[in-house]
Amino acid sequence: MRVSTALIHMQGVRNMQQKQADLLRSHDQISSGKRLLSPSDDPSAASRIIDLKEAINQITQLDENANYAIQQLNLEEVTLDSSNLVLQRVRELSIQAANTGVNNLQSEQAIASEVREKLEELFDYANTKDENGDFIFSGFQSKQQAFTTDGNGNYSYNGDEGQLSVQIGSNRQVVASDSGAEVFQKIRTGNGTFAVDANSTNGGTARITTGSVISTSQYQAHDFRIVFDEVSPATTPTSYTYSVYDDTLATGVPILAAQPYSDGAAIAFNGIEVEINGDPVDGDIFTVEASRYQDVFKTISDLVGHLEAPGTGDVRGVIGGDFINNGFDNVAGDSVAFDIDFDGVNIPGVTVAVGVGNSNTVIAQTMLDAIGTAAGVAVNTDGSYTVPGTTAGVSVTFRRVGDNVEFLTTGGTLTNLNSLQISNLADAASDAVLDISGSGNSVSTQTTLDASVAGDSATYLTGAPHRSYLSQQIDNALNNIDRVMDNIINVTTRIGGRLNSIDSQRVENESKSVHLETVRSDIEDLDLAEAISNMTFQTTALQAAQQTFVRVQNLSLFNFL
Amino acid sequence: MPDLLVTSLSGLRAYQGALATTSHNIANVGNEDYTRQRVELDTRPPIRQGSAFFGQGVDLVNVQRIVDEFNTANIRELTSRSTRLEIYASYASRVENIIADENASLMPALDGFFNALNDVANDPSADAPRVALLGAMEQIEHRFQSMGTELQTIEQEVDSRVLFEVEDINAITTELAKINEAIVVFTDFNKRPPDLLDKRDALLKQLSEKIQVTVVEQADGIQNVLVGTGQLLVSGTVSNTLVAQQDSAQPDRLAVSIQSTAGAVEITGSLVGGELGGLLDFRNNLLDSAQNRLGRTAIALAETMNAQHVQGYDLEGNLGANMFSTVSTGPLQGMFGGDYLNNGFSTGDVVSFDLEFDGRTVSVSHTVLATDTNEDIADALLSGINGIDADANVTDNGDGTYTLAGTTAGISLTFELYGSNIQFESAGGPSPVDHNLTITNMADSGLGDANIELFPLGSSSTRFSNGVATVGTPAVFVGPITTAINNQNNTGTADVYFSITDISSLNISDYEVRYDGVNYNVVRLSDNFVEDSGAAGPFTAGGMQITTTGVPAIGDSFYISPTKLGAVGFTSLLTDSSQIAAASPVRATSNINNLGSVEVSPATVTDTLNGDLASTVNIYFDPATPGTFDVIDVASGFRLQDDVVYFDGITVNQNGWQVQLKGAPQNGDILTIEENTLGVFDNRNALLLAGFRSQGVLDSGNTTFEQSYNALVSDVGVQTQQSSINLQVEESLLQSATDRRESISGVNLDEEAADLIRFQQAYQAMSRVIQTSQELFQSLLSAV
Repeated sequence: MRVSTALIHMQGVRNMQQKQADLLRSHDQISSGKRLLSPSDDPSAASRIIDLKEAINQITQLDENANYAIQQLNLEEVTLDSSNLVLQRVRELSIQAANTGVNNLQSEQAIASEVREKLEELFDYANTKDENGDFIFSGFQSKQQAFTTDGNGNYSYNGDEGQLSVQIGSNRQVVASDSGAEVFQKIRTGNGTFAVDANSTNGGTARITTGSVISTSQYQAHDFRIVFDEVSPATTPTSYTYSVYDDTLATGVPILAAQPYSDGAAIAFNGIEVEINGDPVDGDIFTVEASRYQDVFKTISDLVGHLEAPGTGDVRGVIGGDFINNGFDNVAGDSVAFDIDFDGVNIPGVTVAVGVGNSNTVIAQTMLDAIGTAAGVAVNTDGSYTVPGTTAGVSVTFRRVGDNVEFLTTGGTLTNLNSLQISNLADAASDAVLDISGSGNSVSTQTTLDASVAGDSATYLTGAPHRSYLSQQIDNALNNIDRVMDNIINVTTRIGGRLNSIDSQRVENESKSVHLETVRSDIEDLDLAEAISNMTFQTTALQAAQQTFVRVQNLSLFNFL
Repeated sequence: MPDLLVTSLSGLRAYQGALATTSHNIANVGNEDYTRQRVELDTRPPIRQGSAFFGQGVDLVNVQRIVDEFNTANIRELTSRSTRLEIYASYASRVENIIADENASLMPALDGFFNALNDVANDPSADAPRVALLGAMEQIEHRFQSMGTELQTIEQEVDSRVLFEVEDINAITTELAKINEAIVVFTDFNKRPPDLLDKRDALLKQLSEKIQVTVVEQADGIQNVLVGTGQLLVSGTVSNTLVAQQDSAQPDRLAVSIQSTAGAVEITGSLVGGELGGLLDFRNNLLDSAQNRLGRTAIALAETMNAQHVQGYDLEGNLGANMFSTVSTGPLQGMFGGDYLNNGFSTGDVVSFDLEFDGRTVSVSHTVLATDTNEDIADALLSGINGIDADANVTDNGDGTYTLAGTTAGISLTFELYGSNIQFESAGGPSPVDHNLTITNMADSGLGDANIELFPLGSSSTRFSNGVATVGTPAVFVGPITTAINNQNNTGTADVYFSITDISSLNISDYEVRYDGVNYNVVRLSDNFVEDSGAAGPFTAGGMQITTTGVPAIGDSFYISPTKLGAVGFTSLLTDSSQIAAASPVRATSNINNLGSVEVSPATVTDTLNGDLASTVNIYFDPATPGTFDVIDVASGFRLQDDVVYFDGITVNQNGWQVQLKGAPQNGDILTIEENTLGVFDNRNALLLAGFRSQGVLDSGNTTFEQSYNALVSDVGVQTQQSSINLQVEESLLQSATDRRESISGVNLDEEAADLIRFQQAYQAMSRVIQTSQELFQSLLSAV
């Protein structure tokens, strides 16, 4: 082929340029560490790299999210662990308090004050804030204090049931918070299905067991009342029957009527079974109610209340005694008068006209009827009389039981104790004496009221907790505390489960990320050894091209002319 | 006998010429357009003397160019192809640099945005992640805008280069015409001046660098130059000028037409090859699609995020505002009303006003009663005796919504009560008559102080002229609407409007609405597919609603570029970190007194525009009908749903939310769904927003934002790669053609040196012959 001078030159230059371009590319690759410098080097690989980087980036963020969730759950877990320790102590104290045989009022007060401290501690835990000042147990409303109290043993939850979810996998969210409602508030009382209790005015020593559901199909979430009645005519020893009323349906007709009571025998109705142990008295009431939600603070606060309070509200007492031998003269006849004060109502001069030959029973009936003549007193169908107090809903009912007049207040509360006072006993010979005694959980300031003592007055008060009643309350509180602890352990277990699933997700994320990173590196990153050896080769090639060029350029026929 | 002297003289002259030509060759060794020349020597005719013929010497008959015309034509074609690819590849790699730069591309910003959303979701009440999210939003805005602007800069640069190329081409063709004129003088085919021919070849090669041409040679040596589909650039001694002027369909860019005595013909579409062809190719195939892809990603991001963000509650307990704005999208949407009782609606006042939309005027009035609440007033304005519903063009749909039919067929506006406001949304696309909703002619029989507040709503780009309408001051909801570009050659009076309403069908093609004399045809320009057609709008195509107005003429066309401006117009709208709507507007709780184990899932919002969304609603298991529940509006006590049979896992829909119920309820149990007031630690909406990172949004829900952007990168990458590979191929072809040319026509100095020696020797020999002749003469003289 014919060759022109320009062609020799052009080809030499072209060769060198080509080799320089190769060298530059190697240089760029080595200095950036990347095999692909721009998408056009390998568009499909570039597109893969973007996908991979995005996937790696997402995983990195998911990992950060997981860290956040762990942080959040750890704080909650620590708080719950502390709460559980508090509850543990409350439980111990309750058991101590339940040992009624060795406790006295003083030791109970000491226990009560420690329980109160623990209550406050628990209350603080429930109002834990995270580092941002968010209440961790307030659900979505994290700027609202989770729990507040009115100071009277009533607690309210101000948050909601919102839970924070955190994205930890591309299709996986983990819950990173629990609402205060779930942890501390929504705890079923009793055994979780129903809760038993003894009426605070029960006179007997009987207690009711927690019970259990034996037939879920028969069970209905109704409220029931078990009422005891003394078998009439009286037997020796006294025997009792019980009737079960459905208060939800409120038909007034018992669903179980006048069943004979035997100590410790199972009482079954509505698919459930409970036992009542001990000795009831006539009119004692036990309740079996569908479990309600009760917050832990109310549970503990009630316990403190029972331990601290001198009584439980309603006042029950007996007025009477052996009238005939106590100066109520049934030989010549007598007129005995006294005053009754109750909740701001004064009934002055209740006058008992003792007739000749009156028996104690007749005198007692006369006394009851005398009370019934006072203004504002309502007569009940069973012959008892009810005196309304000045406070709406508060009243006292008098009735005759045997040779005595008994009374029972209703509507009183722990904070509104209604005492009943009897004073100014007087008769002609100033020798009348009334035997005074509280019954159930009530006490009286004096055992007798004496007409010979001027201004003598006796007050019935709600006394120290009725031992059986207090035991029942401590039992119930223990039950409830156990349920709270169960609940907290459940929540803690759930947290553990979440932490586990976060861990496994992180492991998965990690291995995915490592895998993706490997793939990305394979596609994008440079094999440095290979690149450097390439570059060495390219350098040599360029040098060769340059030398050849110079040699060839020097050849010209003109050199020889 | 021939004269020895004459013979040798002829030789001297001939070799002088040969030496001169050799010297000319050597002199032009560095001229790449030069074709080597050779002298043609011819023996003079012999003289017959007697029986013998005697030669009379030599004549230099011609100086010949050594050239292969076919190779020259081949080089021209290959030059056009490789310059086209060269300019294409260089611009493609510029675009590639813009969109693929590791730090300046969209991906880090997009990642940053979604990471920031995750951080907000992790700690929704904290301020720091929210501030960071605002920063990330600004970063996205910055990326979109700067990439969009850079692409626009390239577009402008391409346009101005087109202008320069056209000027260069015109200069070359003028020159070519002149050379044709000079060449035609020499009629003898073999006696044309070789340097002039070289000059013409060089000019043609220069022209080929600009544009691919066809060269046709006439018998008289004139070369005609044709371009495109056969338009004459150079015709004999006349050149026709190319003109770069505004494109009639897309006035923001230049089109090329050829100007001849017959008039101007637009030939942009048929121009191929060369730098000009490369520029036009790049603009149509790569730049347009890159801009549209980027714009579409921006629009999709803005619309999707907005649509979700407005469904959430911000830190203040207000529904979220739009996060981003881009090109106008969505229907006309908003609400008006406000706190009437504190806005001058006093007892006894008769307040009236007109609503104007699409050529309709709806007159509304209400006499304020002493018992009226704000809700009562809104209700009366909507469906009272003198309410919106009373208008003849309004239909009561029976579900609390009222539809006003516009004067344009297919276009309507639907009203619905939203608390104390009246909310509205248009359907059928932008109204060509009056796309806005105007509240005007307000009158108040009392103190004249009544006013109505305006709220834009939803993910649309509806804006308003002023926040309140008062007596004497009307207010206007300005709906999102874009006018399609009228072709400059249109003769009709029609206009075409469009608005993007469906992101999932939005594609990267541009559209043209063409009127064929009977129907409008909505043509997708990427494949010339007619997506919709009819005598009048509304039309639906490519995620847009398109409406028409006026009288079109046959052949009229309207250009629609839905996505092109998406990136440059992308702006972040939120300025205050508390505006980030991370929470859901509703929450569900179970009542503390419930006896059963029934639980309610967190409420999800299905319709934020439901006016009752925030009302408190109870799900009540009525003991009267065990096994069923009622859905009760707590404020009014109204039973929204009655005696619904319960089963585990049942879904309840009401008021724009949805919940699922689980567990065993007991009679009397209550579940409450209420407004999520103070719910600052709620991240449900933030999680949904963050979830769009890996969720398909575009292309009927198949493409994520990342994939959409990735498609742009790989599209540009592939085009850049292909153009550079093709460039290499074409360059090596051109190279071998050039090598061939060099091998035929190039000057070889060694060859010339040899020639020099050869001709010098011949010359010297001739001189010797003269000397011999003289010596012969001398010897003859001395012999005399």
